[in-house]
This record gives sequence, C-alpha cells and structure tokens, in this order.
Amino acid sequence: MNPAPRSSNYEPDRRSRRLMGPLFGLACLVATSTGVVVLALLLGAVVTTFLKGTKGADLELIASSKGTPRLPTKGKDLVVVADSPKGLQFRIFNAYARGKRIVDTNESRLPEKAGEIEALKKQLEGLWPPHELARVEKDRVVLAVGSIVGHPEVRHRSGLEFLGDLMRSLVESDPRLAGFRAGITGSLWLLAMVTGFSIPVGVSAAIFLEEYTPPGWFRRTIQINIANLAGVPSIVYGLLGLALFVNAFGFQRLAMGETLWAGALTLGLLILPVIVIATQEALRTVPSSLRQAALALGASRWQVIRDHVLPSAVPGILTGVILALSRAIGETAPLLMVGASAAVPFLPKGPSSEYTALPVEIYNYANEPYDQARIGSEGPFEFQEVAAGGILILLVLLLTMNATAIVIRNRYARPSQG
Amino acid sequence: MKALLDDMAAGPPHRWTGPTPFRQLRERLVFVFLLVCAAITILTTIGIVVVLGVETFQFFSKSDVSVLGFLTGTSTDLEESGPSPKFGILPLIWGTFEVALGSSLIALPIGLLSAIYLSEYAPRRVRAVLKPTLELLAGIPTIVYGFLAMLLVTPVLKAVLTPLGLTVNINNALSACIVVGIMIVPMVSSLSEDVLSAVPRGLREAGYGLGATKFEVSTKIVLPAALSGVTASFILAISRAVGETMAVVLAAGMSPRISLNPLTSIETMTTYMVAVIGGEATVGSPKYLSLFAVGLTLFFSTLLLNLLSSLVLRRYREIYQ
Repeated sequence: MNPAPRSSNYEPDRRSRRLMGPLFGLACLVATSTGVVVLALLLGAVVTTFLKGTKGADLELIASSKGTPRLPTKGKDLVVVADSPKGLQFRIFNAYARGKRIVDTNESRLPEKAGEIEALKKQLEGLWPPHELARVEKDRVVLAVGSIVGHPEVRHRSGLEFLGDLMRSLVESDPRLAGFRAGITGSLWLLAMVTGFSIPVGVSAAIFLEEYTPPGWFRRTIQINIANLAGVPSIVYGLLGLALFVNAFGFQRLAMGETLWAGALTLGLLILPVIVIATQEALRTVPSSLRQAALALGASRWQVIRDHVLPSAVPGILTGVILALSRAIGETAPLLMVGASAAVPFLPKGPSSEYTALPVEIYNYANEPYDQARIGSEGPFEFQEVAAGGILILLVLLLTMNATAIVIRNRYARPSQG
Repeated sequence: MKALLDDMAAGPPHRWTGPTPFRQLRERLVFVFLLVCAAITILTTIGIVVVLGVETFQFFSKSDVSVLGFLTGTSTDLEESGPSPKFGILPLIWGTFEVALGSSLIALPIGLLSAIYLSEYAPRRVRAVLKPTLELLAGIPTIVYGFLAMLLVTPVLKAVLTPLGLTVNINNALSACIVVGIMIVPMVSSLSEDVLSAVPRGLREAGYGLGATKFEVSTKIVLPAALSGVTASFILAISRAVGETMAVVLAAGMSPRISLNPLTSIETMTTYMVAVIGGEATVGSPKYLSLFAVGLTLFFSTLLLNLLSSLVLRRYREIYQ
C-alpha cells in the first residue's frame, strides 16, 4: 500500500504551474511562426535583389565636342562622352567626384584616332567588373564615375520586363546580358521526359503493389525498399546516373553521354518512389466495395482497375504526381552529376542533345565571384541579380504546379464515399 | 420500365462463357507490365548498390589508398594522376557531422515545438494557414536555401559577429547549419505533428480530468505517448541534413577542414562530389572513382539512419485501440 498522498502535493494554483502553460504555448507559437518568417524573409531577399537589377540610370550628356561642358544635376549620374574637348572630362570628374576612383585611361587626353579608340576599348573591357562605369559604344567611349544609382549600363525596366529579358537571353559571361533561356528550355524538356517515364512506371508499380500483391513478406520487402529509396540523398541518384546512363561503366556504345536522356532518367528514378507512395495512398482511399461490385458483375481484375479504381483515384494520383514533378524541377545536385553543369549556350534540339537546367544555371550564376561588400548596397550589375531573377522564375513555376495540385485536391476532395 | 421487362423476358443478350482468350492474354500482359514496373523500383536499389560497390572497388584497386587509410586519412587532395596515399574521408565526415549536428540543434527544437503547437494549441483557423505554409517551405528547392545563405544569413552573421572580433568567412559552416536547419524544420514538424495528432483523445481527456494543465497534458502525456514517432522524425531529418547538397555548397563552400570553428569553410561528403564533378574529372581516373567511394559512405550513412528511424517507429510504437 502506498502511503496516502500528503496534502501539500496538491497545489493547483502554484504560480510556476500557471505560468508554464502560457509561456510554453508562446514558445510553441514563436517556433511555428519561424516558418512563416523565413518564408517572408526568403521572398523578400530574393525580390529585393531581383529588383536591384531593374534599376537603370538616367544618363545625362554633360560634355561633348559641340556643347559647352557643365556639371551634372545633383543626384544624377555623371556621364562623359569621349568626343568632348581634351582633358575636360577628367577635370569635371575630379571636381565632382572628389577622390572617387575613376577609370584611368593613363592620359589626360582622350583618344581621337580610330586606333586609339580601339586600344582604349580593350583597356576598358579588361576592367571587369567595372565598379566605375566604362561603356564602349560603336564610335565613342562613354565614361561615368561616382556613386551610381542602379546600373547605368542598362535602362530602367519594370520587374516584368527584367523577367522577360532574363527569359529571352541565353547563358552569358556578362551579367547584363545573362539569362535563363537555355535552362528553362532544358527544364521543360526534362519535365516532359520525366513525366513520360515516371508516371506510367510509378503508377503501374503502385497498382501492382496495391491490387495484385497479397500482403506478406514480398510486399513488405518492396514497401521497405521504396521507403528507403525515398530517403536516398538525391546526389546518390546523380552518381547512379553518372555511372549507369552517362558512362555505362565505360561501354561506349551504351553510354548516353551528358544528354537529356541521362538527366531525365536520373530524375525519373529519383521521383519514382514519391509517385509510387502517393499513388498507393490514393488507391487505398478507393473503397473496396467498388472493386467487389465490379468483380461481382464479372469484370476482370484489369477491367476493375481501369474502369473503376483508377478513375476514382485519379485526383489523388494527380496531386501526388504534380508534387513529385515539382520536386524534379527543383533538383540541382543530381543534374550536376549527370552533366548539366556545363554552360550550354544553345537550346537543346532533341532528347539526345546536351542541355542545362534552370536550377543548375541559378547555381552557376550564384556561384560567380562577387563582391560581398556590395550586397545590400548599390553596386554594379552582378550575377546575384540574375540568380535572384532565376529563382523567381523557378518559384513561379513551382507555385503554379503546387497550386494546380491543391486545386485538384480540393475540387475532388472525397470523390466517392462508399 | 416496360422495355426493361421485355429485355428480361428475352433473356440475357449474351451468355457468359468464361473469359475469352483475348481477355486472358490481356490480363496476363497487364500483369507482366505492372510486375516489370514494380521491379524497376527494386532494380534501382540494386543499381545504386552495384554502381557504388563496383566503382568503389575499382577505386581501391586502382589507387594506393587502402580501405583503412580511406576511412582514417585526413587529406582530400587528389591529383588527376593519382591520389596521395594519405587520401581519406575523415575531413568530409567531420564536415557532414558538423552540418548535421548544427542543423539539428536548430531544427529539432523548432520542429518539435511547432508540431506541439499545431497539434495541441493552434485554433483550427490558424492551423489551416500554418500547415500549408510549412508544407510550402518543404517544397522550396534546396538551391534557393543556399542562395538565401549567401544573400542574407552570411552578411547578417558578418554584421553581428565581426564587431565581436570574430572573422567570418564568406563561406562558413554556421550559415550552412542555419539554412539546412530551417530547411528540415517542416520535415520534423509535419511528421511529428502526425504522430502527436494520432494520440487518442481519451488520453488527453483523462489527463484534464485529473486536473492537469494543457502544458502538462502536452508534455507529460501526449509527447511521451508519441515519442517513437517524434524520434523517428528526428532521425529522418538528420538523414536529410546528411544528404543535403546544394544549400551546403553555396553556404559552406568546399574547403575540407577538420576544425571546431564554425565560421570557416568546410567540405561535406556531398559538396566534395560537387567539387570533383565541377573539376571535370576524367572518367575512370582515381579522382572520378573517389566520387563513388565517398558516395557509398554517404549512401550507407543515410541508409543506416533511415533504417534506424523505421526500426524506432516499429519497435517502440505504442499502439492504441
């Protein structure tokens, strides 16, 4: 027998006890909202960086061979055209920019002859990245100096125009001209090919497991296997694709090389377990009375599946498939392994063409050397802004896919109950 | 109605004579097709094991590196001509461990608290907003998290820690830990929330009936009851952190180093692979083959974690009627 509890054990109004609950609730709420905060921060950072790319400069001609030189309006960028009187530009610069570094042509005299202009062009092109601006036009050299608002190299453009520019241009070594056209095209190719491979295979495998395999060791083994496949790091699939598809263990005739085929098959295998698991779950929601009714009417097993089980499981399957495909679109590491890493300045022409993909291009641009100190401040046009634009394109693509999945799920929620 | 009666009087239009040969053939073909598709999932596993195994074997036979040396070596220098005999995976394992440890220190508490909030505290409306948001976070590609580390986390760390006299490398392990930690929060919270919600209501109500507060019910009744599932979700999340590539590449860089300082660049098993493949290793060279040796180590580490997770889930699950 336990001794009777002492009355002091019962203290329902102990302060710590009353305080603990709300405090803990608050801690939980804070923890949960970190997710929302991070999402907001992430979008904010990406959009801010992206918008930096939309800023152009108001160029103002302040000196030329014809007009009289004058100081630029306060707050405007200083642009000097090289056909203005000798040495004048630099005097204006020095008066205006006070101690700021200027593009040095080594002479106070600006070039006049064609040969000299060529030499200056070469010199200026070597100054990349041009923290102070130097732009070379067809027949003249435009110099600018001072703190630059936005990017004097580019005109002002709206966010949509910038996105459009990014989608139009191919991969480039110059961030002002860089874009994602090759990557987007490659990703769409991959998407189409992965869809063609992994939907039939994944759905079929799930049907086999749910409708044909009796519960037992065999089914359990495959089930455990699929669960483990879903947990294999994506880069390991990349290694599989590299050895099996790209190089075929050195058998030249079977090797696919760094083609879309290899990339699509690798991604297809990667999302296969996800599709199988989602399809299985969808098939499980189909009431067994439906199957039994069809079987009782003399339908064969396949007829039951084709005409009754699949149609009522389609919304669930579709949701799972779209989510799996959106995972495939965002995968980078396996594609790097199977050879999408190279900068490909052309669009893929067919499934056995070399390619690059949107996330891979984002990675390449994000990895370009950049000046850390410039982040958050106004600076020259950087690859960061291009990468941010690419991420926006990727997120919009993913959001569209996920929204489609959610709409399908909501529209067909509880398709057939009994 | 009359037409129906007439039909019935006329007898069945078609007498059932068993399945036709065509139908039998079709059934068989469909069965074979489905079987092949299911077999592909098994073949993938076999493929991964064979590919990693064969190439790893080639790595050890083609280079001077012994298995023991590989597991204990502290240098990851690999020349195209051949590796130094001191080549080993230890710095990579250390880097991986650092990222896994750091990110779980962030993700496990946050994830667990979010799960408790969602399952015990949140009003239905709040839950309806928060849950999809967390799912959305889980769907964001990891490269985006890596970009976030470069763009936001590292500059903030720099701004905060530099005045304290610490030097923050552009690529550092800490920012990798932070972004990977944030990345795996949704995994912990959604898996844990599932098991917490599955704890039967009667248990909670018995607790309340005995005079327990909400805090006591959550932490002393619901959480212990769901402990196996929560632990399993923890292990899965750690496994995910171990296999994470792109976020770590962009945040932590690729310099192998065994160091306790989280503000310097490190290299993990995954980022080593990216570094080697970025260096255009010739197919069949020891450098190329070392990818697979490291890959095999990675594969086994995550496999062990995943198996452990499902073991915990099955072995220690409390089953309620």
